[in-house]
Amino acid sequence: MKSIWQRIKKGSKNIYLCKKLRLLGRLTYPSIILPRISYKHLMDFPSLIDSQEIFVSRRSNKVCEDTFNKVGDVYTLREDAIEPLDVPNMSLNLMGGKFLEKYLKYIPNDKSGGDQNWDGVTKIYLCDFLDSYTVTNEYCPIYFDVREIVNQYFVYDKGKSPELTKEMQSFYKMIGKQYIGGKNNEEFIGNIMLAHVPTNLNYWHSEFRLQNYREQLIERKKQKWIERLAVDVIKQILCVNGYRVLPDILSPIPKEHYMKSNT
Amino acid sequence: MVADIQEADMSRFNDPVQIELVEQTGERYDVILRALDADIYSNFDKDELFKGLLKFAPYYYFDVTWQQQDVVKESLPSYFTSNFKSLESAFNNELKKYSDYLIHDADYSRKIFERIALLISELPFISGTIELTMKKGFKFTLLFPRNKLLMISKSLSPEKSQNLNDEIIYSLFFNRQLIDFDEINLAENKEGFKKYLSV
Repeated sequence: MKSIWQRIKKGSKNIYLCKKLRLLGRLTYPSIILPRISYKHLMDFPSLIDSQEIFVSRRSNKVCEDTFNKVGDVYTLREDAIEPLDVPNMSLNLMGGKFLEKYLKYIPNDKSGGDQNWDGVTKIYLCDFLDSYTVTNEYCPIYFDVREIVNQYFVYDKGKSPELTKEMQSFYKMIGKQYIGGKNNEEFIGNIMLAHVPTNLNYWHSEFRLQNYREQLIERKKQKWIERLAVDVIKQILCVNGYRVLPDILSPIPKEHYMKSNT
Repeated sequence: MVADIQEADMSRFNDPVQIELVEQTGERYDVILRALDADIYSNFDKDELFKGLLKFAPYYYFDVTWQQQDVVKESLPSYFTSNFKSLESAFNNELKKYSDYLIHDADYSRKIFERIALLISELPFISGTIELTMKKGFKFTLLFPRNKLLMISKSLSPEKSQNLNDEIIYSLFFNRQLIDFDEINLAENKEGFKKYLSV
């Protein structure tokens, strides 16, 4: 635990350094999206989703023309706008709080500290993360209405596996459900969740999560069955539910969802 | 105005287009694609008739029931040509940008595209587009009235012989919600789609 003096010293250094770099035009990162100790560690997303319409954003590294198809007055996502490998635990940003579209241009560098999950207690000083992100000017925002993508089901198969068949039969027996085996591969039903995963550089960071039939997380791994199911999720859920712009009136996230109640 | 079928060019067709098969004396059959400003004509021996008809492909998909000594006509919907042209234009744009997604040469890929596009163009879509996908195939996205969206994917196998069928995967959405998807033969199911999507 740092002493009060150490914290004041660190805070002053942070303010001084950041101010100097901002004046020189060498720091543009929006400190407004950093986690704060007055914030709750994790927001209760299910309750937030139940209470209002919310949107999340994702950066496409392509220009909008190469990200969306225009079909009449409707935009749909191109299949190649999202890499299948990125689908499990896909990074998204919660809109309606402090995160704005223009902040999509900041890309946290891998394993830089900036992309690490925030622990909920550490005060974040931007000066500690000056080399933890890059800035791009070529991108296109993709928006999703959270209610249109979460709790959606997808069917997946992991290939023919006697072990899984046995496991499924056992599971179905336990829950009193009739087991109907697939012709070749066993098919399972998974579903989609959204989780709040604040990082050191972005409190509003969240993740698109795929859960297996046992409601366990399907991890991002380079395996054929995961790639197949990711392609299906892109085709059947993400492509039709990706929006090019936010609605004119976006409901703000009420403070009680992210501020600690005693502050 | 009469031109040979081999020289047929889709751009010369106006709506509506009709096919006529006429049995001539002997063992010859006339085949006429009748359009407003031009008839495209050819004739074939009886034994060669259906093989000959295949020469229409990829310019025209036909599903004609043929009877001896009868004239059989099939009219295409009035929007057919404009639908096809809009898809063809989108395909050309895709080829310019994403030809590296193709696993076959552009001419062969165009043949497969046309085969499917000619079927799809009979559906009453408001607007349609196509994308070449990284999964080595095509995806058509078609918008219909009443918030219906149909996506039709055709994957291309490295084995050319496996691509010359009308098997596709469709995903049907209503209000952006997936309501069904399956792998089907589009030629065999075209009328059902047309009926549902015309409602």
